[in-house]
Amino acid sequence: MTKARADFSDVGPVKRFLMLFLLPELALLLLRFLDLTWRYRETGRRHLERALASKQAPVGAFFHGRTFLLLRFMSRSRNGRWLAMCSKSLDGEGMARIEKRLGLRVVRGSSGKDGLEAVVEMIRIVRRDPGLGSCLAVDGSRGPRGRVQGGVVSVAQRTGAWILPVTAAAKPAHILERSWDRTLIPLPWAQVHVVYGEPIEVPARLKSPAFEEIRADLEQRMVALQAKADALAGFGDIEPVAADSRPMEGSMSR
Amino acid sequence: MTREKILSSLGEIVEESSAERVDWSSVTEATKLETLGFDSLSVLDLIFDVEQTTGVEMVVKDVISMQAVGELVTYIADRCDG
Repeated sequence: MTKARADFSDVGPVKRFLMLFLLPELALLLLRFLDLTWRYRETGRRHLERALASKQAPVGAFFHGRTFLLLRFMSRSRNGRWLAMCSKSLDGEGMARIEKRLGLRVVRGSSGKDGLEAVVEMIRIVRRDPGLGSCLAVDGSRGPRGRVQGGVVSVAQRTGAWILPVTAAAKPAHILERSWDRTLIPLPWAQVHVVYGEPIEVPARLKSPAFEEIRADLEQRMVALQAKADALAGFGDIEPVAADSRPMEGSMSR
Repeated sequence: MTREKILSSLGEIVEESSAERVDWSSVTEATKLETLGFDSLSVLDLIFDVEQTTGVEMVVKDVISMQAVGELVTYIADRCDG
């Protein structure tokens, strides 16, 4: 993860051009090309439709490593309108540009104070526009992989939205072994399986133990959902995500 | 909204949202916020409860930088009047 000032003035011009213009454009081109060749299959779509039809569009919860598979798919209008969160890093700025070009709305922040600010901004935007769903890479932006952070529960709690677990798997696909999240990139003409879990309702008022209970339950459900998606796609990850039985300290923060 | 009214509303909010049990009757404007048992979850509760009660949209970095209850009261009073 590249640390940089908010305006990236401390980053050299070549790197800035690469990270903020060239790479996002190339990634977008690649994503659009691949998307034309991929065949999508959905499991549990009724959960998405039920959540979209509720009075507040859902909080989509997915693992960071499956973002690439879900981005293009979730930006289609029949799958709802979404507000995403990207970190304020240089990498996050590149990602935010890609997501905006795909038609998603974006708030900026990831962990600590920035993350809290982004969660507050996300809640305020969604409250003003109940048809807008929010979506969060729940183990992002830096992991640990598979460890659900508390932000998703807070957004659901304060907006009245249900949490909608969603993941995807594909075959044939390539895993970026050096990335912390084991990013999965489906190859051309892959079959992509998008799998939705049952929505989770979150009470408006939660003290820490109940909050942790919901966070841990979501983590277990998402790990199981990912295993289901991998099995449906016939894709085997030699390092599958696993739920962590230890409670998370400080609820929202790492 | 008067400072007394804001302080009283904060008492109800903090007793509801703080991670620790707080006896608001002993709290004054000089009381340090850190003694009220806020974690990131209860800061969120505080921000949105204040917004619901007073209509004031607080900024996270402003809230985090506050030291004493009086600063919080001033922050809300200034924006209520504005």
